[in-house]
Amino acid sequence: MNLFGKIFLYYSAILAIFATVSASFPLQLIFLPLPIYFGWVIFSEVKNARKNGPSKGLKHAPLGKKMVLVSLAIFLMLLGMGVININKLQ
Amino acid sequence: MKKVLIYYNFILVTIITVSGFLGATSIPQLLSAVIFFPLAVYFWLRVVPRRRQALLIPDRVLVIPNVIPKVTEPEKDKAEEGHPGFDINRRTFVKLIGSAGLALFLFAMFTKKSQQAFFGKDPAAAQESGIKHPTDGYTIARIDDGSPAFYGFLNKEGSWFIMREESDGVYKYAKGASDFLEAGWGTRDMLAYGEFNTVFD
Repeated sequence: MNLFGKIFLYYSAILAIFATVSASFPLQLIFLPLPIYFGWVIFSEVKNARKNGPSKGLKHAPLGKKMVLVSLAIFLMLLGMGVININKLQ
Repeated sequence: MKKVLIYYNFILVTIITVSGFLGATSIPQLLSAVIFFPLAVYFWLRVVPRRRQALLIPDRVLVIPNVIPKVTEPEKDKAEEGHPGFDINRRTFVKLIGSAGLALFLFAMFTKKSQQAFFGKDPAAAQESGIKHPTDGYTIARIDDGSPAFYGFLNKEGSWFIMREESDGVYKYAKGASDFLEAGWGTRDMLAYGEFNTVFD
């Protein structure tokens, strides 16, 4: 995994733990698979790195330009809808 | 197992992120939705199918004869003709979406708390918006089961009201702010009774 992938993974893991810890009791059960998944992924990454040494190449296919654009478009659309909603309420 | 976890988390995080953006009522709430957006992108990238060879499932069993008399042209598989881009992962994905969506729907039906947590509604504000009954906080203090029957109610501040039940099934009310025993219950026969909406307007 490259540096960007690592940052992305750890950031997501921290968010998942934060969301699970800060939720109220019944919701914590629903959120629980999130930290379990990230724990699993990080553990297997660490185990893999110990076994084979730090990987130099990408394990997964690189993020395509199309995916970046689609993600950005979805983000902007949701952000716009959120801002419109707030303006309506005010 | 890992796939199930990925799909479950994908559905969960997508719902949280979208509802976070759409349900935001202030800038800090919108910022928190922005912070959680990369988590959703992470799972989208895990779920979105990569370009790879689709797995074809033939809808009939291919029987290879012992003796092939004459092969002129290789016969095309029916499955390949009918469903050229059939992906078994897609079917699993749709099944998982259905089951997880149903589970979330049932959860939302049975717990009101979860709805508040998802959409960030303040429980106190929600309570304020609810209709308050004018006789909230009162409890029964005296009963006179004659004809007409009287029921005296008192709250902890000392306010009271008396309900008169007439023989024809009509209920009328009288209320006061203090001195329940002297000004209320003691003189219940002489009080001016009225309809509920006029007494508690």
